[in-house]
Amino acid sequence: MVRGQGTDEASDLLPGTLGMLVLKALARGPRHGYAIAEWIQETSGDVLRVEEGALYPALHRLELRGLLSAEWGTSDNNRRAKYYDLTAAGRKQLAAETAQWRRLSGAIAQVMLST
Amino acid sequence: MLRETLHEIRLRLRALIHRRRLDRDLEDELAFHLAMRAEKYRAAGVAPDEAQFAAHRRFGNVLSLKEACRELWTLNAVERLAQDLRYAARMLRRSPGFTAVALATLTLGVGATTAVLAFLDVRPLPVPRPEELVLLHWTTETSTAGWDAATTFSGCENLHIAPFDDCSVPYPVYHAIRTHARGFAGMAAFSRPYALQVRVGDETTLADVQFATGNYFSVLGVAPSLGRTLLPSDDEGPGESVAVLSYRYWGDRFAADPGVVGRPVVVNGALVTVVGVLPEGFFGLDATQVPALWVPVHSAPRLADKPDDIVARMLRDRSGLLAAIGRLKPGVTIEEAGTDLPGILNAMLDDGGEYPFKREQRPGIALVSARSGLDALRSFYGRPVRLLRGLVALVLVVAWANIANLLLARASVRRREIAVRLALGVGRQRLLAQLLTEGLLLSVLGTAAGLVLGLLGSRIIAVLLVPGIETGAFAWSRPSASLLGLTAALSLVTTVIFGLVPAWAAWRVAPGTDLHSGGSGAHGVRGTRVSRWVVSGEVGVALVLLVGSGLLVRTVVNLVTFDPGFRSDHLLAVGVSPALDRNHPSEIGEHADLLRARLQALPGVRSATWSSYALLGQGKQMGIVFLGDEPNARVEMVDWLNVGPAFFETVEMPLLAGRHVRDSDMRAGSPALWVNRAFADRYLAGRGPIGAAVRLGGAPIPYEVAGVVANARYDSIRVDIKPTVYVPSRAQAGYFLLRTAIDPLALGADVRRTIGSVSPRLVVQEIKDTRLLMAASASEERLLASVSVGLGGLVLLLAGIGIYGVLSYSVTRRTSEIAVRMALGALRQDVLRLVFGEGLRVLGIGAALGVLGAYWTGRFLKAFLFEVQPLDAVTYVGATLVLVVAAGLAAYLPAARASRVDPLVALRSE
Repeated sequence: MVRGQGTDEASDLLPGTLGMLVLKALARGPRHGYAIAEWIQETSGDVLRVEEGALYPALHRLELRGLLSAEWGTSDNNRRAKYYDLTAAGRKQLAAETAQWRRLSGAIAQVMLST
Repeated sequence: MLRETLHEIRLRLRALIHRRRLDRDLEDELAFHLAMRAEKYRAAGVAPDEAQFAAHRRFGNVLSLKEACRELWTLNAVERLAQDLRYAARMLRRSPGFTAVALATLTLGVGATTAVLAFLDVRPLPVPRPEELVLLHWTTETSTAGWDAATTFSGCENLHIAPFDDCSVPYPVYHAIRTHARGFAGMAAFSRPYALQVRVGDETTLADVQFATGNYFSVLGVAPSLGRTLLPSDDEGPGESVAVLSYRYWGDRFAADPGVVGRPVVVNGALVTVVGVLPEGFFGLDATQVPALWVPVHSAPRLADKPDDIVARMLRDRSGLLAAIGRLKPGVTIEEAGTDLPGILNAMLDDGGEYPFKREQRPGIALVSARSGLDALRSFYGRPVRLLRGLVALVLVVAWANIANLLLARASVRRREIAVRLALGVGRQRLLAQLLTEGLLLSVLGTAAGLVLGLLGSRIIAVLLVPGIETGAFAWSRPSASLLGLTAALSLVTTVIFGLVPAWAAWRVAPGTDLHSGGSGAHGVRGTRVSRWVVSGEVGVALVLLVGSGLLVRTVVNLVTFDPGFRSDHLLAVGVSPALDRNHPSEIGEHADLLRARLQALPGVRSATWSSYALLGQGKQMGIVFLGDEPNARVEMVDWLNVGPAFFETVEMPLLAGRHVRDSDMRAGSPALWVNRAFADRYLAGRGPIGAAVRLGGAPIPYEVAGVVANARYDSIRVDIKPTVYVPSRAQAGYFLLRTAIDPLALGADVRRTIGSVSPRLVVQEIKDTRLLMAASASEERLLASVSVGLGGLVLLLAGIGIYGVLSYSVTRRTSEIAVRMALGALRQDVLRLVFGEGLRVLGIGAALGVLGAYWTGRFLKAFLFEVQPLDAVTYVGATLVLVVAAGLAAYLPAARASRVDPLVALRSE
């Protein structure tokens, strides 16, 4: 689950959003799991904190579906780490989900901001 | 979509294979993340171990995360199955008694069924496209065709496709059909095998020779392994005769000599050249009568014993000594091929030839599939085989009933365990899956073992039932698809029984109540009663089988110890005949006196004589006698045996009146005749039999009765004694009978040498111990007796296990009750009596059912019995006693266990 910074009344995103976020995190190049979580947290201005219990199952599910490829490598501090990257299918999926998200959030914004 | 799924499956499979690597990777990945977070905290100024701790806390439960991730990767179903199988194996190992008994029961049940079914499994002939082969069957509406006496093909069964039918075909009919019928790619004619004298080098023995037309092997589609097979050119006219050897005969008589092609052999005095050897595994059309040689039909007249005997008549119009087999053209069905035949037959009837069938008989020709050859085995042994099938079905039913009972009992005992597992949160579905897996494991193991046992068993049955059978013909070498399918079905049914019974019991377990009541809820009083009745049924079946086997055993004993009217032990029968030689025809009678004298002189031989048939050799002669004076002489048909001097003394047939046979009686004009008591009583009563005049059909002078002997069976034990005449004569002295002081067969070599010394032209056809001949005539009964004793013992064992199971379960269920009784003062013997009483009830009902069953099935056995009635009291009492003892033993163990219950321990564990 993705949690907002204030504990309970988290910004309950719609389920499935985490996958999209992870795909986006890898748009610029391969990253390991920790880096993905940090990037999401930073880029969202600390609003979205990804819990490990949610991140790793999501990563593995995406890998099984063939949207991510994985490779073992060494991190900067010489530790063994698993690096994920987008596959071609993954890029296609990211584009599709981005478009869908834009449409959806645009529609919600119109409803919520109407007087 | 598809690509995604395939990719996923590939990854999952890889993960399954490299399981440990997956584990390590997951751990490393999570450990890395943890380490990075701890570093981040340290960089922010937190103390190192505090940082580590905080990182962990943020992480949450590492283990369960790892599990969750691992779950994603595995092929759940496969892993679960593997886990279930491991668990099932462990549970089975935990209760070795149950497992051993259940497996043994299943193996024996499936094994017995498979053995009989594999034996009965009809295999197609080992030739290309056997389904194209058809046999011609002759049908008539009124009486059988007027064949010349004893000239029909013997070797195929009456198929009841018409009021009269058999497969004898006269040669001209075969020829007409072959020429004119359009549906066949080829048609060949063949005879049954005849035992003829075959001389290879210096040695002459009898061998089975089959006559066939030149195209026989091409119709069947058989290629030789050496040289050539018969060819159509061999059919053209007389000329040199050729022969083809069977693979086995080539090995036995020619020592597998690769240069055998071109070697001459002498068959019935005629020269024949070997031209080829057939491949291994080819046995002709009948696995029970495999010929040694094949010879063209047109050679038959040359090879006949005498100009007019059966072999000589093979090609004549009125003889139906051949059968015909055809191969259909590809794509032609049997019905289509049959449409030509009535027309051909009618044309023949019109052409005025000398045929044994008339239009009034409405003859016809039917085509019958010859896919499996002549199937002689099934028809001859049809009776006992059907009985066997019935017995085996019974055994299977009993085995399954036992297994179901065992499972019910075990399921009840496991109620507590199941309740606990349910309470711990194992899903019901999961539990059922696990129980079914247990059942699967048991049934797969048991069925596989049963199949192996069955295939072995069927070979044993076949070899016992038909000595010398061509074993390659049978199913154990290549089990047919239908047999394997049946075994798979058996496996499935047993899985269902094994799995569903405890699953059904488990389904009804309510964790709460079962945990409380200590598992003594029981599968209901109703369930127990069902179990008891099932076991009673098994006991009944056991009794039926015991009675049946008892009757059969008594039959065998009766047959073997039967007094045939003469002394059958230490009596050697030697079959001798002169080698057939066209240029020097000879009769055995010329040598009879010399043979007798020399054989009698052998050490170990007390006395020697001869007769025209071997005693108890299942062959006999009959003849006509005229009684009284002309012209009112009565004509009677009686049994007839030619005998030599001292015949009755040698075989020790008691002489009731008159004198013994002397050398002088062999003279041509001697009028002496011997009769048996049946003859004297029936035809010579009212006057002294000695000196009575009897005219023999075919003899110019009247005979006088010189002696009367006691009744004796000389052709077969089962046939009633008929009036018999014994005629002293050297003619047809084919069997020499030697009364020996030592083991008869030990004289074999000496006898052969002696006969050879009299004349090298004499052929020893057989040397038999008469006692063994008697035993051999009971072979069918012996087989039945041993199989039913075996099966009876098996069912008795199963019933015993059933009794043990039911009582054992009852004791377990009533442990607290027993404990209370003992605490209140009941003695050990009271408890014993309690349990035994329950066992007695089961036994009593079972025995009653069994007696009724035995009484009802007695009539099926009647045909097999000898000198014992189906309702024989001794057998019934004996069988019941055996049953009671076995049941008592089975009941003893649970009873002993019950009596050892310690009231304190039992009550406390409640």
